[in-house]
Amino acid sequence: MGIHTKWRSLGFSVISMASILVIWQLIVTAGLVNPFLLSSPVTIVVEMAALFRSGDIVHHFVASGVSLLLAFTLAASVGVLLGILAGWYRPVQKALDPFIWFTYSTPAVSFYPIFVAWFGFGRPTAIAVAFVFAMTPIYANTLTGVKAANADLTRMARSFNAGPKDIFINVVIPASVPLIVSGLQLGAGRALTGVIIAELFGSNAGLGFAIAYNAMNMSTAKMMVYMCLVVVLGLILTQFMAAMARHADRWRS
Amino acid sequence: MKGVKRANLFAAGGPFSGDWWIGPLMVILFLAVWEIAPRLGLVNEFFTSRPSLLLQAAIVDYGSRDFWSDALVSLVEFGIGFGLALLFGIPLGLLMGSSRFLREFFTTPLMALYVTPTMVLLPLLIIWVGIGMASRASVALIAAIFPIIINIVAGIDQVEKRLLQMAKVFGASWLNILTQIYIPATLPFLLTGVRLAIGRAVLTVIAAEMFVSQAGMGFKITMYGDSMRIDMLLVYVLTVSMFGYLMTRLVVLLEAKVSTWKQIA
Repeated sequence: MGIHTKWRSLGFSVISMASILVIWQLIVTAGLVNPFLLSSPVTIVVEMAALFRSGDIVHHFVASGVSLLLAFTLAASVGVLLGILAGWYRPVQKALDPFIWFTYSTPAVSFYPIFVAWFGFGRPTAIAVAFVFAMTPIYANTLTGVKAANADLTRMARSFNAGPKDIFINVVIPASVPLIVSGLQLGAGRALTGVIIAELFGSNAGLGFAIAYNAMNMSTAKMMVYMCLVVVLGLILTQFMAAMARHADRWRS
Repeated sequence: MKGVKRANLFAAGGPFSGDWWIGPLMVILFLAVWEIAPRLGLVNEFFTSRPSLLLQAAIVDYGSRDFWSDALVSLVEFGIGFGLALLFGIPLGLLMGSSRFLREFFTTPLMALYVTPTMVLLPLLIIWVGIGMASRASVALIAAIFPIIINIVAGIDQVEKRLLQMAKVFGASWLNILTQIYIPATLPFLLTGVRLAIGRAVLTVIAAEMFVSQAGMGFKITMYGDSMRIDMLLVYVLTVSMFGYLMTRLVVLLEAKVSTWKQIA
């Protein structure tokens, strides 16, 4: 059943993407919508090839990628570290609670003007916005994972005479890995959103910047090339994180 | 996103168990440092503002008609986008969940759009419907609809096949199955979707207003940011946070209610 379903769903996704592209192309070719409002897939591909040869795509893709990587690494290290601390020491959790609630319910973009003033225009601000946005789910998941492992397994390990250090390294950390990995998956998506939105607002490079720039110049085709690239970046990220989750699962068992 | 476990931030522990005072104490400490450090000249007040300045700004803002008209603009954009997301998202989710063909056909495009930051669609939507309220409401609609659809589909997925077979054997109509099985079974999942949708819709409305608008909370946040009025800016940010927090809290309460109701039934 496994392999069969896998091919089946792959087939379906190829067919569905292909039919959407064909319908989209037909609508534009038939003149049903103004090409200024919506570029056809063929136009986008032609434009994409030109932008790729000129090096623009690589430039913006790498710029967003580097910001994303830095923001995610920062968010992951701080989120996991604080999550473990808070899950292990209850007062730490209580002390962090109000601040986490605040960042959780505040749209991270609203800090954009403050971050521009603090860190300067461009990449540092994009990283800061993405960091704030991505850190909370990573922290929350790590905390929940460590606490759950703590309650269930610690009692058992203690009855086998394990010390707190052994329990922590050999029991709590491995047991909380699935939730931490899920948190990292959510965090990666949010880091991408943070970076792209900050670049849209103002930057000098990156996919978000390229979208805003081409929108301002009314070049719909170029703008849509970069929109498609954001989707591609999102898909790469999700696939990568899913692969990491499977890997972590194997390592655990 | 199937298989991704989401920690419920609001469920951890009772809020008033033994050490409840640590949180408020930390907030007071934080506010004290924030008030004193600029006064001692350790940090530049121009960049950080101070809680007392914030309080003054809040009194001015909350008393002004301007503030409430901006809040109303954002609220209307949120309401339209989020309301339409519910209106379209629930039937679409039920439709997709109950038909295997539709589900397999639309899963990939849906996932691709779900992982994409919705804000990138804003420039395109502006070309389509103009820079008015419509573009911001529609980007909020797109941001909010995906978690609703995806969670309903996930909810239907976990309905037991035997239950459906039994219902069919007893001659249940399509409508019966929908109202007696699918809707009650997916309600908790719908609420999870709604909770995620609220956060996404609030974020998107504010971001869209910051990107292009002449009114609304996001517009004011950018305006006060440009003129470096951190105190005024933070009053707007805090108001948005409180709104997001209260809305999320409301859904969490509903979720708790539904889960106890399900256990009784």
